[in-house]
Amino acid sequence: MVFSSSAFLFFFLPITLIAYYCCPAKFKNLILVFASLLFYAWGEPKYILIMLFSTVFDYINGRLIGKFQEAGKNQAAKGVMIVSVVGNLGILGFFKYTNLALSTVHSITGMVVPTLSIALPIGISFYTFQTMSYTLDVYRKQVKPQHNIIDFAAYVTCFPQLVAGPIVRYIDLETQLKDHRVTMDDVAEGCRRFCIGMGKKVLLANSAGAIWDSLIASDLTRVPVATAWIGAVCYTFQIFFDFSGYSDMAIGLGKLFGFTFPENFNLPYISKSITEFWRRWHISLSTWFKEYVYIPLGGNRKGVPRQILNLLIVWALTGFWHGAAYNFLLWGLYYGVLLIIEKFLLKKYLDKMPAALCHLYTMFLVVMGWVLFACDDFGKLKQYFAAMFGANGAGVANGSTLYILCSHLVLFILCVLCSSTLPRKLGEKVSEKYIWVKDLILILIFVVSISFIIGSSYNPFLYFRF
Amino acid sequence: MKRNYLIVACFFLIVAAGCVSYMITPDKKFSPDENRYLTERPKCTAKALLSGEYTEKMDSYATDQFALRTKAITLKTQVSKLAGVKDGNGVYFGKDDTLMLKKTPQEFSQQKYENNLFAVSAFAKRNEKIPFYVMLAPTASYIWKDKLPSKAVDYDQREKLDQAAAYFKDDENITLVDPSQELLQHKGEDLYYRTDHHWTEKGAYYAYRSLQEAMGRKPKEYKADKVTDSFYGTLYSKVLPFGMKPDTIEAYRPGSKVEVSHSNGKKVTDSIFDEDKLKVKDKYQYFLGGNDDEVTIKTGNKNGQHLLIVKDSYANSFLPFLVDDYETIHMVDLRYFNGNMTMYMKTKKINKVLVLYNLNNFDEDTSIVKVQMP
Repeated sequence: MVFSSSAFLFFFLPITLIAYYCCPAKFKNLILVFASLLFYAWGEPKYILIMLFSTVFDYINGRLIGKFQEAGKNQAAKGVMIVSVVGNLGILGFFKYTNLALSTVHSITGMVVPTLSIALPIGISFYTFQTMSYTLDVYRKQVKPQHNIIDFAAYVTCFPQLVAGPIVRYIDLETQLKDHRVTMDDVAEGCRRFCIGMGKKVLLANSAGAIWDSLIASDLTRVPVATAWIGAVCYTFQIFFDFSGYSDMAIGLGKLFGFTFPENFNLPYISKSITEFWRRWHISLSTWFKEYVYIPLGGNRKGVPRQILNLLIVWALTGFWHGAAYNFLLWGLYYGVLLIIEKFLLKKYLDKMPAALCHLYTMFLVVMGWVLFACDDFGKLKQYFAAMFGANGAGVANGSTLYILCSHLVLFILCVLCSSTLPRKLGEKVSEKYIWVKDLILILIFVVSISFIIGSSYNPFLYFRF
Repeated sequence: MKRNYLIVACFFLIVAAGCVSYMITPDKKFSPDENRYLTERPKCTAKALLSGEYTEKMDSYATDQFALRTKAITLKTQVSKLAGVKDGNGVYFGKDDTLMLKKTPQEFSQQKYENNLFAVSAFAKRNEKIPFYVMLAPTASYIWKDKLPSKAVDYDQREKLDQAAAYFKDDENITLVDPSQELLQHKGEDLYYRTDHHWTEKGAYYAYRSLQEAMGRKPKEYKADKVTDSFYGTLYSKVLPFGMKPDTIEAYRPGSKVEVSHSNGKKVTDSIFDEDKLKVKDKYQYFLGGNDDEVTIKTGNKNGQHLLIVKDSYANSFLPFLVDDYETIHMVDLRYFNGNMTMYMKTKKINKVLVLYNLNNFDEDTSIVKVQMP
């Protein structure tokens, strides 16, 4: 199920909230687990089994690690931790990467290999990473093993952040699982945040995405330079507003249920370097890789060559996490290389450069990155880059370029403004007395978003590959 | 505390009201405004549940049966227009309160277009003794180019018509009738509906003049009755804009008495018009009652002229001008007709063929290729 659907808004959400608010505190987690399983089962009922398995598997692993550590059997505890990691990565690998591996074997050796008809269970990359954070943190003695399986299941299945993040680590939720009282301030903040996220996803991301989709489906050899750039910028906006909108809705829903999730996006498009961009983009994912891959590999403590290797490993994995196709791997390595270059070479120059230039440099690379990210067909990718740099001979602009620009001028302006610090500054300026003005605007956004959901068939879910 | 009431109250009110409205309003089978069938509440069976079919249907049910659905679509259209967006759901918001179908050059399927030209040419070759008249009707986005939103680039209908002319150049028994000059000369008149993708009776009339000219006949004068002035067509249904004026339907009344048989005699009437259709949403069906696989119109004129029209719905409002000139007119809509064309032509003693499609349809329709089957 997706948040931006009428089935979610008008059936699932009100019914779940009523049940949740009305039941006594000790059953709240149980209600949440039931609701989450229903939410997850909506698209693909059978995959609920994987999630249940994941939950029970890591619940037991957590308990065992705790038990062995108490008894001083550290080797045994380590063994269980490894079993847990292998198990989780095994599930992820099997469902997500099997077909890519098979088709790669086929294209290298020419052998005829069958492909499996397995659909990727939605959100699997998110929740396997979450459960792994739990067993790893238990092993590292950062958290105590959870004894209550319902509380643990509530963490794993928690529907607000189930399918598109943020990747909430167990350590962030540990105490909240015991006590998630909901105050009026939480509920109000949750509603506000949900409306903002909904507007970003439905009004901005979907509108920008429609332009990109129609462009990428057309004959790219006839797309002129300006149109190609407009398309790339549209995708850049689409993925940001879609993804951060989704995170906003998740954080808002979390608030409605009394949880505080970590922030996931912090205005990434105002960054003045790629390093800064990745501190602001999908923060929960970068944190996860830093915490569980980069630092355990030795981070920057084992000399520069090792650090470079570690960075490349982390970024190759980050790329691959986004989807089972080689363009994602390439996209990850692209950022790995850029970050290494910035760290060891460019940093001192970037510090001296005028801010506007730094910003231009960053956004240029980010837009290039998104084109790489969006085209999983290398033929298309080549054609698209050719179009962007005029190598296809289709000229600088044509009639449709102007039409797209004119017809969507307001959209583009809104996208730029909403990527900037302006809305945040305005929000902070609003005094207590005039908060109703802000709230009225948010309600208006919510109502218009609903009309866009009802009135259009175009409502893509971008993370089915994650 | 107090500061929170407004947002919380409104948010929950909207969500709860939406929820309750599904329960208290009965399901609608058909949406006349949108002119389409709606998804009704699916039955919950174990099989449907496990296969995911149930939840999928529930999703479209929740969108389709939303109590304020048409209002929501109108709001979406109005917000888009306010934001300067110049098209929505495949429809241009044109000037002078006119809606037009949107088809960009990229959306035009050259391959299918040529396949269909080929099919017509093969059909004519198989019946080389019979004169063929092929008319591809230009649509509003060409004739009323001035009414397109500024900077809009639709596919080049002039170019496509020229391609057709070049294509049929060697087919001796095909005459391509291009009504665009005649239509362009009168573009100030109501040639197309503002809310529908069809031409009006007047638009059809100017095209008819072109046909008569090609056949070397004198055209009749235009005179028509107003049939209704509350027609909201298919384009309107797609975007449901606010405060749009309805269209007027006019109809030319031929003098001859007719016997009209639909689908090989399944239904026989004495008029090429269907008064009942003025009560439904899609009032264009007033002409001939909509599209049937086969319609035969018998007139009292014993002149030995038997015309076959292979057509789409543009021909339905074109027909009235032809009735008086033929003994019988047979209309075949290949989207629904599955008989053998050669046999059909023989048994009906056809001695003249008109192929009439609107250009927007001619690169999309996949049934035209049926004409070339032996």
